[in-house]
Amino acid sequence: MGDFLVAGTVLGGVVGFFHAIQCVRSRVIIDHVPLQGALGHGLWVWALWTVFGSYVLFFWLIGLIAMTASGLVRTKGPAR
Amino acid sequence: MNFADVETVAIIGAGVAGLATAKALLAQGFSCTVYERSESLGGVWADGYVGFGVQVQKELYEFPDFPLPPDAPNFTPGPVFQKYLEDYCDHFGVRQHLRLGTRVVDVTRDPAAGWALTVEEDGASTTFVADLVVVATGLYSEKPNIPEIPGSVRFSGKVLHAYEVKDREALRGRRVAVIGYGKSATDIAGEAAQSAEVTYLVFRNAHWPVPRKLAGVLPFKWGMLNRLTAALIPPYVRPTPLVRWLHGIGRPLPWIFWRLVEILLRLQFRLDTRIANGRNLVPDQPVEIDAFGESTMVPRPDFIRLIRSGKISAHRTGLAAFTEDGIELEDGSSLKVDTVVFATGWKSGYSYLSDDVRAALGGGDDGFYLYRHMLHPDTPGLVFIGRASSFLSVTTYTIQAQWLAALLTGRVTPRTADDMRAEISRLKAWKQAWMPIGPARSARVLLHMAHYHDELLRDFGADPLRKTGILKPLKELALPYQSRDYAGIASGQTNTPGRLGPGVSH
Repeated sequence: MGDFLVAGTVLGGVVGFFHAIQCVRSRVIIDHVPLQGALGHGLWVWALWTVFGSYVLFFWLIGLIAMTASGLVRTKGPAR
Repeated sequence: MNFADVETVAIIGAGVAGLATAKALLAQGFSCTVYERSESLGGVWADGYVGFGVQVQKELYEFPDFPLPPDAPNFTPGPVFQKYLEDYCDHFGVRQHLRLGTRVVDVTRDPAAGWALTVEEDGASTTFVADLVVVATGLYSEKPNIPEIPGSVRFSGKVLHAYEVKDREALRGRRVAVIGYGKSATDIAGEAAQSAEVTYLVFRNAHWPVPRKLAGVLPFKWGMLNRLTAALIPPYVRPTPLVRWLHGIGRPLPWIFWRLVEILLRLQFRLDTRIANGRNLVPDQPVEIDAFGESTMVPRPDFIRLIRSGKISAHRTGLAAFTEDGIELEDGSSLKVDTVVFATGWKSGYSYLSDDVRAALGGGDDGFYLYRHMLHPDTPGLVFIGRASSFLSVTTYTIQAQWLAALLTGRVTPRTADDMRAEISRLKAWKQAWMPIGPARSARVLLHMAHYHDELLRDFGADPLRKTGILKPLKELALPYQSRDYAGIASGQTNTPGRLGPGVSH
């Protein structure tokens, strides 16, 4: 459990970092927002990903299992 | 076209889109005339079927800079909304520019003046010219859509279109079949269930209903109209890297989200309810795709209860033929009815546009595509406002109107015809790749409205992120977008956040 939380938080932090960079770039280059405001936005994005990373990982795993199972059921049964 | 030369504007239609356009252009000093075929303003809100009204919460369906009065009921009834439009008209000085009871019968290009409009009024025909024509007659205003069904001449009962059902008395004591499964079909079936001897609802395809409150607790806007949900639907034309990731390796996330939504809707609406022939009300399409069809609706709270109680007998099949005393269905069953109500919508079309203009607009089974849902490179000077369906239609049309005002005053840089064609091609390919087919697919925005609004706002240099405060990024993610978020835009202050402009009162 502890390892899962750490793994999810680290993963969230990494994804959040890249998302934050993309957000800052987009806010400055496309939306012409001052850099300070854009950095604040990016910080928020990174923090949210980090905090909720393990939840995201949990739902991703559940989704992966359910999606795979659903795909198998559908290939064996009639289309819904 | 050189938009800087525009001085006179003819607006066709005095519904929400036409009024918003007139207000935006009058504020910039343009000479506007609004032609409306009806004797009263409001478009679809001027006259409707029994019990018609807005199907979303009032804060989602109002002008951003002119909120509905505090005492207006939620899910605003049609007549209340029509009165609100009258007030809007008076508040912004639009009324003196209206020409009610005038039917535009022809719009053609005029080499000298730009556009010539032939208008019928009191039996007389007159021609007016304008530099720019705004078509604001909406998606479905041409004529009622009543499918050709074999045997209709021998049917001894009444055949009506939904708009003709003006009161419950028209259905009292009758044996009624309502055809369709959209908002008007479920509304009229609900009315019939209160007064008719028997009520049938016949529909070929079931669609996912949107509850007024998710799980009976949370208004649906919280689950559907925020940017988090917008990231989970099939990606927009040019997705951000995160959205590409989310729908690539992250695909299980949106997948599980929508399956959970489906489970919630199945339980809340009891869609597994058995109806005629052992079928049920569970749609065939996944909810995230079905939500982009043409029958997305928020049904009356008692709709499924009426089916479960047997007051509405639901038949999930097509209408095959009329008989002398009823109808035959495609599943082989027959129903004895004396009134058939087609709640099958309206035909989309612009018959008043000249043949060459309609030919230039093109279009196939899913209608014609426009740049930003407003402009076509081959019909310069002809603008469509209101040809984009969204959950925040009033807001969307208001932003479109402000975009047009910005274009005409040089705050939006006009794109070249080739640029517009390329953009239209991208939009068309994107929609045709996944969105359900239908005559108005070209105009559907729906859950992608936030992305569409973002595009328009960026065009005139406004910040597309409208939430304010220190928690702004969190609000952007989780809070629903609603009309008041665009109040600054609607009042022409394109660089202000979404606060209400001054001096707005009822």
